[in-house]
Amino acid sequence: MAADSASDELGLRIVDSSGPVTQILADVASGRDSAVQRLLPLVYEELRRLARSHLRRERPDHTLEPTALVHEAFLRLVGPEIAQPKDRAHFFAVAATAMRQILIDHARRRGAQKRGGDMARIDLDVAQPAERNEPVMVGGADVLALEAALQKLAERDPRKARIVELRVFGGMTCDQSAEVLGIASKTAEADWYMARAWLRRELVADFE
Amino acid sequence: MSDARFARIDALFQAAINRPAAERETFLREACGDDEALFLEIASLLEHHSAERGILTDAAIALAPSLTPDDSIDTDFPRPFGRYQLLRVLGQGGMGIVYEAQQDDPNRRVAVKIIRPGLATPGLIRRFRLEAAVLAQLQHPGIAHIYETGLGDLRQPYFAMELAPGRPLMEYADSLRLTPRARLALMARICDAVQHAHERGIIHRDLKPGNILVNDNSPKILDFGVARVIGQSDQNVTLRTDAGQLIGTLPYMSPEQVAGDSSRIDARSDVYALGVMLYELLSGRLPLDTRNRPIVEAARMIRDDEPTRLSSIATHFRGDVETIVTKALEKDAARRYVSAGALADDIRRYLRDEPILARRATTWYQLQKFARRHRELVAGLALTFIVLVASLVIVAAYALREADLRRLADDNTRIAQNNAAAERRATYRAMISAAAAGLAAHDVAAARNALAAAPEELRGWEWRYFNNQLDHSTWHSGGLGPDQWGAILSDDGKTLYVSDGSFGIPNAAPVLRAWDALTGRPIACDDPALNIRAMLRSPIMQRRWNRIIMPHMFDEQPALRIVLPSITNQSLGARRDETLHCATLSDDESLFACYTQGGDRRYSLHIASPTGKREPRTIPVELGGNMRLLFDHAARRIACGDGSASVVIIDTNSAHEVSRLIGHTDTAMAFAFSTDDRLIVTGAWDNTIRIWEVETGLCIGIGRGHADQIDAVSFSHDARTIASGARDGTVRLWNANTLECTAVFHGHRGDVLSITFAADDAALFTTGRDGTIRRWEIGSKRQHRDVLVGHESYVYPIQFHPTRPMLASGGWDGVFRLWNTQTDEQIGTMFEEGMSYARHLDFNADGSRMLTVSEDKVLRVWDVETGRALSGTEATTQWWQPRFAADGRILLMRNGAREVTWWTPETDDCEVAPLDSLGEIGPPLVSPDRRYAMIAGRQPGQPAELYDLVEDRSLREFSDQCERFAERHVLGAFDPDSRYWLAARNDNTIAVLDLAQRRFVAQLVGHADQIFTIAFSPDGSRIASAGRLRTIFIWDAKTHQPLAQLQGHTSYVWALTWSADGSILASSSGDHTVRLWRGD
Repeated sequence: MAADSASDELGLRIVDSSGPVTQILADVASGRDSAVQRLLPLVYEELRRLARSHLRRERPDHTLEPTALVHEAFLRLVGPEIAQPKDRAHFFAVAATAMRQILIDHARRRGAQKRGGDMARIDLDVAQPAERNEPVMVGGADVLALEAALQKLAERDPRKARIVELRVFGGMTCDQSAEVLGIASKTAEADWYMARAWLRRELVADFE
Repeated sequence: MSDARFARIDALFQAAINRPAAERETFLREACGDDEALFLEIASLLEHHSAERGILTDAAIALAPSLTPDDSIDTDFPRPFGRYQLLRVLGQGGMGIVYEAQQDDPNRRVAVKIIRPGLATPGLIRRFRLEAAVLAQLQHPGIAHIYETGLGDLRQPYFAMELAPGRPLMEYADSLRLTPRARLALMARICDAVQHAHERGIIHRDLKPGNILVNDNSPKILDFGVARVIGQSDQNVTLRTDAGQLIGTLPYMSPEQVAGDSSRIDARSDVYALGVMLYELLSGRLPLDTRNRPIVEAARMIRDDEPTRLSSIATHFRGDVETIVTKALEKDAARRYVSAGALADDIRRYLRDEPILARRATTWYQLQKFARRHRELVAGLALTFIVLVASLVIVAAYALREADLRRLADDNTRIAQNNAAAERRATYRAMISAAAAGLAAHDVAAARNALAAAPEELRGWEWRYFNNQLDHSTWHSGGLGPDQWGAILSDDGKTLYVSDGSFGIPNAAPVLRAWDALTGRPIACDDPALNIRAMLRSPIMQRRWNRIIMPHMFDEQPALRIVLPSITNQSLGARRDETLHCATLSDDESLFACYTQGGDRRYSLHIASPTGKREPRTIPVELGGNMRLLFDHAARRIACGDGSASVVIIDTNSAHEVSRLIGHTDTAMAFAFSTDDRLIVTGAWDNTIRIWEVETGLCIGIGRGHADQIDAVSFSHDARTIASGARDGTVRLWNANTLECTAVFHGHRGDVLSITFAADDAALFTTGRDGTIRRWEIGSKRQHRDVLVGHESYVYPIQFHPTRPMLASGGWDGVFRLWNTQTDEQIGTMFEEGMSYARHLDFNADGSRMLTVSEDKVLRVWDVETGRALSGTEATTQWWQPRFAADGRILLMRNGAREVTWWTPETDDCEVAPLDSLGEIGPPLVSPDRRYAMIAGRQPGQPAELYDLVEDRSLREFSDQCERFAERHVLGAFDPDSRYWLAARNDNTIAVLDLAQRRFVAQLVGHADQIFTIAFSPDGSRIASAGRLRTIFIWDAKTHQPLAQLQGHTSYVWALTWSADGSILASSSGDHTVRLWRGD
């Protein structure tokens, strides 16, 4: 019967979505390396879904709010009650990486669309046609330009690039970034100022 | 660029930004030496470092406030937060950050306190909403008014409150070198404010000098009730917050607070804190020197140690002052002043050199102590004997004669009776306040309980008004059983059917019940096929808790065969031992679906054709205890709920999964498809509703607002509106595009089980666990309920017709309108070419005539029946508030003239009476008995005058009580018996003046801004007042206590008036509407 094959697809199972993430975070905290690898796909998936639904509803100016998305993802996957700063920091650090990749993918696909050469128009590009020509903005900058500049920065000073990732894509404060990277708050702040000035200059030069 | 060079640039950049901006260039020049490129490089970076706007600013990267509790303060200002612009940080505490902020409408500066979201659990947020509504009702000049409370984008609770000027209490008192008497008087005023809150059941719990700002001798208490609202469970949280804060708080904590016994914390805990502050104000020291002590030791001292006697610090406090302070600081709350008001009373008695009450109580207490000390002596004796002994001691102590003693006893009885009455009145006020708060938070059960607990003999208009708010439904009919199914409508939309009962319960086979959809009249009905259809197609397919509705399979329920001729256990491929759990029929009755469970406890989903046209499909599933099935309108898809937070959409043809709706965080048990089947709305036990695209499973919106699990949702036929029903007993309407909540209906007691839209989307029908079926009006009819919409601009004068259910209003649009107060419909207009905007109106005694005055200074008299102006009655003058007298004549007082005129419009007869003693006068207001006229000052700032028209003399002695009335028309009100005059004063209070006794009686304190209107209810028992700040106050005219506050207008309230029977209060507003507040 066809019904048998359908049953797997149905798989009406109760999924306790908050369980695994909390567990993985505990593993991260206890220093198990593989934990981050397990966390990333979960967070990536959730963020992608969130970003997709946000982009659909967006206003034409297309400034994504990665910070808000990451926080929302956190609330959905972990819940507001778990307030261990360390757990949050780990989660946000992973989310920053995921968010950065999602936005770049999205912007690239949108760019491809603009040039009319897109074959893989799935996924994020469900935005309305009128909105497709708008660049994806993050932190007041075009995400692709920011990405290019960030990669240049990473060649010179990877730690500074990482702090930018945590702050811009993960919505972390300098203190939280410092905690994730295991450096002093003051160092993280100094890194951030330098990185920010440097990126601004790069991005402005890019525009001009 | 090499890494080394980058590192050098980095180092110099860091060094530069750590220097003052002015020195940077010099520093760099020096550091870079000849390397001009390096200098330029760093200089350009510095330029970008200090850029105020643009990319990667804190605001740009942190568009959402951080969730984390350890976030640093964002210093990027101004930045928006909801309706506010945050301007700067005022302070930071254990629970959040306080900002100075700007609000646009109304335009004002406010303090916004944003609570750290780490504290915000869902349960806390629910309580926050309820208690926040209570706090918003605290309106007292001595309490920083909380304008608004709410949740931010990330559900951080916040308070917007009055930004109070002033200095902290001790600093203020010391800098002005206040005398002890001034300090006592100041403390009495602080007590008044605390008492105001206590009467509304709100305890501060964190009173300390730093929380009291004083400006020009007026104290203002901050953070009232905030500790409780944010769930600060006293000791626990306080002790965990930073030590610096605790040191400031601990000395003011009462013994029961430091003991951590939150159940014993009540108003008297605040009395203790007031006692500590009074002690400190008078002596400059704390009663217990807890500073520099370990916290545990300090807590022990507060519990056990007696404070240093005040008189040992300053001998002149020996006596009454020391007695007062000692009583406030009693370790046992039962021996303290019962309220802040009692403390204030004793302070004032002392200041007036009257005997204080504290001493009597203390004497009695000492007698008790005497008895306790001599236990062996009094042991075994009856209480009466102790009293006798006590009396003898009193006699001995005060050498009272017997008669005095009896009088003393009588006094005590009277005081006790008065106290009991006062207690009941306080209970009533607290219950009304709690009911209003419950309603504002849509916690209807709490509101209902509060109203039920209000003492019956005190229930008045406000009780009836709030009681009306408990039920918004047009009609309801009860008697549905616990196994009722949701309602379905007949094809013509005129009849509602509910299948009531269950196959599974003996003697409870489903009975079909029917109602007239418009009137709610039950209709006799017996149609077995319709009964089965009503069950299978109702919005409730399956109730929760795994309740087996139909425990036998089809073979044993021939009734089902009427609608499902081909469905048998065999045709479904189900075993004999399987039971049916949940079943549904598609709209076109082409498909049937059900969950069954076998003896092995495994579940299967079956999809079959009722007539056997298609081969049934059976899909084994894993299920939780709660199931739900719903076909879309075209029967192409079926939504399957399995008790989890997700819902699966299955193609009915292929039995393949189409999409999976993932996002709810708790069981999703209610769903409905849009008419075009493109969207599905789900309601879940996580208290949210969500809209999804059926095809992709994409969540495109979340609706938040319900306070409990959602068990019913429905789409309107035009797909513009969504309705949801929840266990909190409310039904909510949502804009289907934005998921904005557009209405909240109260009525059901408990779970709302099903929702059905009327065919024209103008009404809703719901069934609930309370066994009722209800009808609710929606759309335009609902919006205009109790709101009279028609004026095209601000509405000014309003008045009820003396005999008919009719209200007249006049607006800035120049038109006078008549309204039917039963249907809320406009029934007529009074307008002539050239009329300017409306200023005043009055009906004559029988309601056949109405007079109007417009800004063009023309008085017109209208025939109410025809809506026409009577010819020859126009008069151009400066008459401001003419009134019909009982005999039909019109009483005129002309602006600026020194006379009153009695005018008969029909004959144009004028009788003029001079007012010789008056000078130039402004617009007058005449008392109901036409004896008194209140006359505004002619010039701004000139005091108003009360004039006795009968004795023809001015009651000048009142003038100093009525500081205000610079503004025309804004005078005050006479009571219905013309015994009292109520005057709105400059300090936003209302003075009550006794006209016959010619004296000041009381002051109504509560308004936080200018008062525009005051109105007595016809029976004289209630006073309504309102003004610039939109809120309408209801006062008890006897006790002069505030009873309720009514919110609804979105702009100032200009006028208030009561219907002749006192059941309806009407208000006109700058929001272009008139509202009717029904207490019938």
